[in-house]
Amino acid sequence: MFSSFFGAESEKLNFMCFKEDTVCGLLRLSRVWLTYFGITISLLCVGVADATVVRFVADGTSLQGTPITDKYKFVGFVGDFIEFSDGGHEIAVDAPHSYKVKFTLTVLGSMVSVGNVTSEAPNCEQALQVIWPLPKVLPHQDNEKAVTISLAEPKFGGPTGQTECVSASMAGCMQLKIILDAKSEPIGAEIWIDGKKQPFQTNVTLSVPFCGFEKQKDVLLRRTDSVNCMRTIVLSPDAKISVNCRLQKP
Amino acid sequence: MKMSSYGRAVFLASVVLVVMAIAMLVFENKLSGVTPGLYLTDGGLSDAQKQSLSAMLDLVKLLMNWAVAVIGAAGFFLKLGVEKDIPIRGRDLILTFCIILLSVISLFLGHLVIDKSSAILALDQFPVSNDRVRFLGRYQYVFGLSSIILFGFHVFQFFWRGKRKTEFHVF
Repeated sequence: MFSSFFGAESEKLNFMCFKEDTVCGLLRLSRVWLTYFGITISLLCVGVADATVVRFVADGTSLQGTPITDKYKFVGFVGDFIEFSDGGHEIAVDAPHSYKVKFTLTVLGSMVSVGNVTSEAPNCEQALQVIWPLPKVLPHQDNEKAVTISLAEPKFGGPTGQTECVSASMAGCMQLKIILDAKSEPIGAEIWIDGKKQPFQTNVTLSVPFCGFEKQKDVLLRRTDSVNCMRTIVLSPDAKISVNCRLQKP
Repeated sequence: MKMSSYGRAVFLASVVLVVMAIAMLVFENKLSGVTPGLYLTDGGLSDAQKQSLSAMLDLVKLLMNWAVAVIGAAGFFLKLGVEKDIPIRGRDLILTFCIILLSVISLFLGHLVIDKSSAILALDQFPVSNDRVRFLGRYQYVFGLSSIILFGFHVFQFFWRGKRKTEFHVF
């Protein structure tokens, strides 16, 4: 399809180039760039249209059921079905010794790749030597569109002698609120706000406090054997915000 | 250099008071935020909720008044001892110190219940069913009750000592 389109463009250019001059040369050069540009845009369009459901599974017991964050936003637990949009993601999984094991996840359509494995020591505690193999990307057994990422057991060695401390802020803040109407189909989903589980289930209307400097909050609706539903809500004082999710089976 | 008994006692009491003051500040700071909760229907309290809130605040104020009264009574017993020329022993002072500490903690928790309730109400939530408010109220009661019981014990041992002294005089 692309070749025929650019073939037609090429004929037009040849027709315009009745005389060999600088303008014609530039037109020929731009034809090559147009071809690359068109292919890139097409690939991007195909990519944007899709998101992939990923299920994280643990090889051992220590990562079983532990929280997963994407760029510090809580997205679910090991064992959940999580939908990832196209692009780069920074995944962190809670590991033993209060560690976080991290890797990058790149999604492009149904293509999923992982890389860049790192680990993060707990605040103000001595760092340990960590050996954690790159997670494996496997096709999901029951669903062609889903992908399974298998997380190996991290191995901890002796202390490295390095310690890093980040002091927590003690300052209070002026508290404002939004009214969050959390609904799901089917009902009875867990509600997580900014990675904290709330003692309520859908459908429910909550008053959610926030500090004046906060701009947004992440709301996650989670139900066993369903794909987690993640929404980012923009905060505005006394606003009534509705989060309505249809929790689908993977 | 060896510290005198007076020096040791004053130093220890100062350390306890400073640690308690810091712990109170840290605790209050930790509980400063309000967690998400059920939104009040139409953003207002029902009649039953208003009555429930009023009863809870009355109870909190009652316990705070009790705590203040116990502090005053413990001070009064010390004064009585001085006036009647009854020697004040170390255990009397320690008991009085503990009674006052427990009462102050109870007062502090009562203050937090009222402060938290007003913050929660401002966010259109119902304070009586809030976990943190219930937690603070429960411990305000526990510390208040402990100070009253300890005060009762202090009164008993104070008069029992006086009684024995009287018996000696008779013989």
